[in-house]
Amino acid sequence: MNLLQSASNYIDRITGSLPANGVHGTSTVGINKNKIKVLLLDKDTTSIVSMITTQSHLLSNAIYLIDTITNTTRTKMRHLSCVVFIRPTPDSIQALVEELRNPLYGSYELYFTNIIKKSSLERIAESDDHEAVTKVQEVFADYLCVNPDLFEVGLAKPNIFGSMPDSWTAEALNRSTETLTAVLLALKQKPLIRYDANSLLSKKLANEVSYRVRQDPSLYDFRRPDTPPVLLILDRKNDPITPLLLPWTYQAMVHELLGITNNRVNLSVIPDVRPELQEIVLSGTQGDNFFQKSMYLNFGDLGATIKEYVDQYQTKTKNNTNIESIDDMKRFVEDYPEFRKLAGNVSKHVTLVSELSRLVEAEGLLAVSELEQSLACNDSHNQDLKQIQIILQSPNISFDSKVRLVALYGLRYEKNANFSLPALLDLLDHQQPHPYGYNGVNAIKSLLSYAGAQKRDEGIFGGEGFFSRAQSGFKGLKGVENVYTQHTTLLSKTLSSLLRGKMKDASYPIFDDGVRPKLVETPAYGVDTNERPQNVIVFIVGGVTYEEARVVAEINAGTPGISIVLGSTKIINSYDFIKNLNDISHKGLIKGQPLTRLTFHTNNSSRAAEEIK
Amino acid sequence: MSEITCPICNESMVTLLQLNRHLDDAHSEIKFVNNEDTASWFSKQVAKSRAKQLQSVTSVFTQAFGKLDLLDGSDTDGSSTSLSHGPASATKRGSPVPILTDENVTRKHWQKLSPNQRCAEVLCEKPLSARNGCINCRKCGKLFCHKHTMYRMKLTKNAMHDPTNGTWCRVCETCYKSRPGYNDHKGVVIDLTQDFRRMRQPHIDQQELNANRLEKRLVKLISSLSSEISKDPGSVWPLNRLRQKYAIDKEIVKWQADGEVTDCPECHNHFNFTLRKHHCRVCGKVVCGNLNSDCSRDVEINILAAKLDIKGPDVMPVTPISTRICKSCKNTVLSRRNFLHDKTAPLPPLLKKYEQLCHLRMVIESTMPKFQETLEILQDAQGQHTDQQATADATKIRKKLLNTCAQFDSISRSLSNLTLNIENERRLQQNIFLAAVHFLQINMLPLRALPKLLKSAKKLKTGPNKSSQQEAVEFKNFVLPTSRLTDTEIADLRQQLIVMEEQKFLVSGMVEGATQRRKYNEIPPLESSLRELDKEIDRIRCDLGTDAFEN
Ligand SMILES: [Zn+2]
Ligand SMILES: [Zn+2]
Ligand SMILES: [Zn+2]
Ligand SMILES: [Zn+2]
Ligand SMILES: [Zn+2]
Repeated sequence: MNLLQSASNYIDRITGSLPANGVHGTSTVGINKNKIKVLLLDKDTTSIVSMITTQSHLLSNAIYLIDTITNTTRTKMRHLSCVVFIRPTPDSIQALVEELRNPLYGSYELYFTNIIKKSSLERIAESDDHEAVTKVQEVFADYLCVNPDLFEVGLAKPNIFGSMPDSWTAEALNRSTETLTAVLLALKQKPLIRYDANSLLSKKLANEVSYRVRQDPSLYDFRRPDTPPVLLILDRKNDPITPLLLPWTYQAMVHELLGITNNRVNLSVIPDVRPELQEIVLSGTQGDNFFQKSMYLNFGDLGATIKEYVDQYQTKTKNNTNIESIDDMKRFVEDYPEFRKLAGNVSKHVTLVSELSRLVEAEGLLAVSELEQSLACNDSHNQDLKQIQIILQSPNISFDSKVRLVALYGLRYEKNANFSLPALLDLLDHQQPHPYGYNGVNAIKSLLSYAGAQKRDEGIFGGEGFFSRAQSGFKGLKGVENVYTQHTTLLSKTLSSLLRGKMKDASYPIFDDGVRPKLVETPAYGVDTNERPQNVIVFIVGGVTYEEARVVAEINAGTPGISIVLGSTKIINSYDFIKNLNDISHKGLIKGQPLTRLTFHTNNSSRAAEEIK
Repeated sequence: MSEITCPICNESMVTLLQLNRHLDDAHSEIKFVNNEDTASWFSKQVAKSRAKQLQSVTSVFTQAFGKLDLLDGSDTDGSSTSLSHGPASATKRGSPVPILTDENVTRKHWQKLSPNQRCAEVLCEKPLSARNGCINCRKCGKLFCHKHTMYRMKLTKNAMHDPTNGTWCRVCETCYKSRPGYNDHKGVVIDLTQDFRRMRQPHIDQQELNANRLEKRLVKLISSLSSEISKDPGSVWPLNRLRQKYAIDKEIVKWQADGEVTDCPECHNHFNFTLRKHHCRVCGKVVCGNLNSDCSRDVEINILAAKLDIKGPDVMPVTPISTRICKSCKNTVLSRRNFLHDKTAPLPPLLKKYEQLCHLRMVIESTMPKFQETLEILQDAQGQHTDQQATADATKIRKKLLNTCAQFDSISRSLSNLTLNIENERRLQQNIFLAAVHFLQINMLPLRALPKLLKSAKKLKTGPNKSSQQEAVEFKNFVLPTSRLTDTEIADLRQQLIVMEEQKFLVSGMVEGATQRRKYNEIPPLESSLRELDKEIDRIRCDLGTDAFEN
């Protein structure tokens, strides 16, 4: 399973770089290649396309104009043909209907990212008085492809909680269902659905997906696999720890410390940064070989690797400046575009890594991380408490770090006899007001009622919950192991038990769709929960971290014959996680008792802060 | 890192990965047999790697990357190599040890182990041994090492793949990955074109029917009015003639009664003293005549006649005769005609030039492989005996290519010089030009190789060749179009400039270094590179002109 290849395949189909099925090859392609095309997108498909392709790729397919379908300032160019790629949302359909009533271009190919309602299709057909439409297709690229094994739903609003923290907003549920079914169709998988037993959110989503699959059995009628793929729907609340820990691998660190939005990183906060580096593209899918190789490296290895990279660049430069023979010349000529890209790339990554390094130093992140890991993995209440108290007083540690530590403490020692969260919250309360406008105390209270011991139902995991250090002490013995990365995410353990066919039915029940025959009747058809799956799609409701993405990539790389893709409503960092908890506490969704004393937080300041971030 | 021993059985290991695997394989059932030792051993490992971590974070970054500009070449010794942990290898943490139920699957086709047997995986070729493993793939029967048989597939008794009735068997990578559908990345696509056409057709038919009916009326109206005009065009029609026209208008279709309508059906405004009622002469409905909302309009009949491709009046009175037509009638009758007309109208200059570019591009693309072929022949023969025929061929093809490229270049430049008023068209123009420049750069560069090649070949015999140098100059003049640079080009050139200056800086550093190390023999080639760089920098600066400096 490869999300990127499937998505790129769809894009190639849309842009016409795929030869039409079976039609006599090169000549027709050659002519089509030259025909100027206009690509019309909507808000959602703009993100989808920008995640997996580049402008120069589109240019090379004679797409010389890209615009949004809702842009009404476009002018008539009826010699050109148009490719429309939109999500079948009411707004986009309306815009398309208006477009076709008075067509600006000579002909139209329509591509929808998902199943379009019959009534909508009829409306479009009735608006096509000019018979301008020549092709209508549904393609299922309805997901944001972040890495080849990582996808995101791309919700317009980050909040997914409805009237209660265990219910969905209608929009988030619908969008997640559509994304998941699109992923299933893009990857051609008809899965067995399993979900977190203690999560209504997971169960609801499992139900929706299962319903859609049953609605249209012929659509999901794929080549039979040796063992059915598993769609595993998990709930963030069962592992609130991972988003609170500082990650130490490249992609994850960048997201935690600087933030990645649709593959873009804003570096304008760095003083004296070169203008071309103010916003950089950091893509796990497009053309940045260095990043693709180093995105999962830990910070120490990253330093060494980027050093090598610079050396390699310097050697290359040396070779290239010294053009003596024709061979040199030829090599230079051949390398030239690659070489120029390399030059840009070197300065990009060096800037990025230097900034990360600066932040680590300036914000005392090594000390913070060490304490975080101790909270997550050890049982040493008094010592940890003392350390937190010291750090809370220390001026160079950021407010974010302090909130994370107190939050971890709250989760970790909730059941400890000497639990002193109120004292810590009081200390936190005396900190400077937070620049990004969230209330740490409220967020932590909210966290405990969202994902506290009772909500997590830790009984399921017994003593082997997410707090246990790398279980037997062996698990962590990787080349990159160190004190800052002791903690093993719950996902890693969950996947391990799933892949070994040892996942407990009680904790992760199989969604009963009433259709599949039971184990006793036809053992071959795999309601056999002990059969080991080979393809797994994991979806975490409420956010996934790049650390978890790394775990999945590691399993994919190191486990022959296993293919896992990971997705979520959003890729989060600790700020997103805490901010969202703070927001839901404001909406009164979670029954914590917000401290009335702290009133500096107003809606205005939070909006301003959002913009700063 | 070099000394790793298993904490349980003390077997020595080369890598942590191997130890990890060993622990999984040999000791996965043992839990804390030796709790204390393990723990202390573990903490030692952690302490060790922690020291490394600290060192790498603090020292590497402050030393080597504290400064933002790393391209100065000053830190080229391998001081930090000791910090690298080796490749961050993926663990097989989650990897299942297959439960295999393959006794029933045939083993007749199994390859026999012979001495010095190597893994059958093409890129592996490890000698097969107890250490590396020696396993038959249950499907193809060939012998492989451990690593290349970590896959599971369902096979029948005859060792054929069968997802329904097969049993789990251990197979090789090739068998696993060549099973049908493994490399299928074509997701589901549903084609709705036929459904769409079916939905559209009744609507189109209806539309056509309407259009025909209205068109007939319009034709009739125009011909009646035309014949009325031809009786006597006059200059300004007197009242009685206008009454006559009114009568003709009313014959075409029954007019809607004024009393039936209170609001204009098109713009929904209320009729009153200022918003007066009018009748559309084609459908007879009451509409307003507001020119802003364009609900209906008086159109001169000869214009209408031209749109419909029919004969209108031969002469027009000074005050032209026109007729009122509502928006909806106009759309029904004319918009489809207009659409088809626009589609087949002659190409605007921008697109005409684009078509020429496409044609030339195809010529270049089809000639280029031939040129590269001859170039290779020449290069093989370089220095010894210059093949006259090949040289002539190459020169000829090159000349042809150069000419085509020059043509391509001049058309793309004239395309970029077209003055366009509409923003969309300007964007189109920019993008076409951008792609053209890119195409030219890629395809022109190989052409540069030939003069150099010939020059160095001729140097051996007759000294420098003038004509090829001249050509090189000509060539330079149009490699990068200089007129009216677009923003993207400026950005592009600036980037080139940065690269070149970085290189220059680097090379100067190397010259200095060589001087210090008294390696005088290294200096001349470096200096000649420097000169070349200077030239290149000058050229880019020249191209950029005042744009070289960011505003
Ligand atoms: Zn051992
Ligand atoms: Zn095999
Ligand atoms: Zn092998
Ligand atoms: Zn009106
Ligand atoms: Zn009318």
